[in-house]
Amino acid sequence: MHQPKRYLSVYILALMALFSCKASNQASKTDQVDDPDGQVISSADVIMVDKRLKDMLESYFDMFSEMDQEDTATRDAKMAEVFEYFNSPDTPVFLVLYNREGKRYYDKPMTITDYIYYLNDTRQAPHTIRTLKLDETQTKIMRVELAVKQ
Amino acid sequence: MKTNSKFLVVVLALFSTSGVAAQGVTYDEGNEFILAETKQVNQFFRRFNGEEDYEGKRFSTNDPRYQQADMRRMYISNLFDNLDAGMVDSLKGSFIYTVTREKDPKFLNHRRNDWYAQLDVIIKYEKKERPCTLFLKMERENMGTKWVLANVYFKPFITLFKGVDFFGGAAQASVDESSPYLHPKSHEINFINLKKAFTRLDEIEKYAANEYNPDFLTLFIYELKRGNAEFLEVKNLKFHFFQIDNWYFEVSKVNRKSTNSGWLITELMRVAEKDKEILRKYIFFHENNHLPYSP
Amino acid sequence: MAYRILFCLFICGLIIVDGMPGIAQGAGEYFEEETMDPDQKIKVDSMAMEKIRDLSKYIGIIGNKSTPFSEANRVVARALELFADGSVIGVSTLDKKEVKQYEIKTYFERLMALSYDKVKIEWFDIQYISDLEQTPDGKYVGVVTIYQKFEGSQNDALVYKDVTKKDITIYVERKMMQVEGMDIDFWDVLLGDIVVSETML
Repeated sequence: MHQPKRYLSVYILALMALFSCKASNQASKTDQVDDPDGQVISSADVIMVDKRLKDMLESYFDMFSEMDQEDTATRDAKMAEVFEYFNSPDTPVFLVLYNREGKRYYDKPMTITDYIYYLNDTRQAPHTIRTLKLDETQTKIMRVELAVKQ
Repeated sequence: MKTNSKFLVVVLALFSTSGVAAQGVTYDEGNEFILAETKQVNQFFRRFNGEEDYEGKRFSTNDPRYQQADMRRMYISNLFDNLDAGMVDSLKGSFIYTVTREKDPKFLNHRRNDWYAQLDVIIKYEKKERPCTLFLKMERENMGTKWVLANVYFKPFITLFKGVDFFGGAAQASVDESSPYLHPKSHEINFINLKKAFTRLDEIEKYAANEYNPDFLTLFIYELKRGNAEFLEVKNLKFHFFQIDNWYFEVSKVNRKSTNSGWLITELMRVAEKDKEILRKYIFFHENNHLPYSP
Repeated sequence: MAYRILFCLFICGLIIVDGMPGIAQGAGEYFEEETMDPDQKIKVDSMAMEKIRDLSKYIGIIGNKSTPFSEANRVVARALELFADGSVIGVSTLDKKEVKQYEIKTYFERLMALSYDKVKIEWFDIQYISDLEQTPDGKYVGVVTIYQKFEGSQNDALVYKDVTKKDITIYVERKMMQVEGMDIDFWDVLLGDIVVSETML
């Protein structure tokens, strides 16, 4: 009876060691977007993010995520307000999941309308704006690219 | 050894709490059971192979803990249903030793076709609910895999084919003197004797060639297509593993509030490789392995 | 145990003959599979978990009586978008006497009709994410297991409570689309069939 018990205590020690070093190499892999170039996209027709526009939209995003869900009238009014900045309520929104060998991988694209509903329904604003593409008149947003907040 | 298993449970419980504290997460009461539970068959494979940590996070293949023998020994010892007194500790110990030997360790691979899912299901047959057993195995298609039907056990089919011995007696039976046959000059008489032959329904399969083997899967599909059978639901699920040389084990779900729960080994047997085909037939065709059928 | 003894008795009494009736078997054939690299898997896993969390938030809204009917309908439509067509949900209780199976849409409609004043869904800190396996049509499939505590209350009184284990199918498919001449390479993550079982806790 003594033998197996001793054997077990060796197990315990070994395993304690194994599990206690359950280390950062796992954690480092879970970073959401590993693109170091931030908001710059090297395509000629995409402008860099206008900081003021970005901050303003992100504060709208935060507001929708915190808004009272039962007060749909206010939400709808605020949505109409935000849509003023967009080409249409169907303006596409792309969420970059990660970069790999210079290629971007996205979540399934959605419209700005769906995105705002998403913020409001799920009570969270987990994304930051990477790029905004404006139309020819430089007044309306034609496309939004988001990344997960670090 | 009996104290061993109890002791291990304590060790596992300890682990769960230490793991929790390290992460700064407070678990509700009872969560240590969920943590210990082998929650998916996928987890059974990964624990057996030592490919994830205690919380279920995959190790990368270059992690020193990946498939580490000591960890596997601990995992596998808790992958047996420890309340099943039928699996003696010496047998379990020998199995664990075989699969975790440093020199030639054995791992499970879900992408092989030598493990079977056994589904005890209910079908509606001739307007009554009947138990039926389906056996599925893995098959490759294109770059992927899928489960496919390997066999069906359904008592009414078995009863109809009682003249056939699935375990190898068929060849003997055919030399029985009383066996009916179509005599070798039947062709000269336009096989006029066939009509008589086909009235002997009990023995009709005896007119078939030696290599004839009733295929219940075909019958099952036929009955479904004809609308005589309708699939209702899955009642129970377990798995048969033939992957480890000279061993067989069965995995089923053990539902209890314990650190020894979830998908666990509920049968363990030493079976020589040459006998595995017989065991497979036993599992597929022997009535002891199927839900009781009341007419 | 009985099984073991019976089989041993059986094997002793058996005469093995060549050419026994058999079942087509390829013993131990191994299939090599193209798999995603581990980093991609981690990203896709976390995407799948996000979808499941979204679903649980949608369920909270749908099951809440104070949600206006039109809003609940809108959220049902959103929740349905998370699922692959034809997905079902099977609900089993501990006694296992009955397993109820619903179309996912019917499940949401029933949830709407339940009308609790408040629905509270609590997550356990433990979940299990299976490996993603490639299917014959090139998609990937996995199963995520989560544990949740559901509480439905009326007039501030708790009227229904359960702890369930949910095994949720996840389909992952890499797709391409062109937007204004630009290729968008995206992961389409859809939820599939779900099994809900009551747990011992």
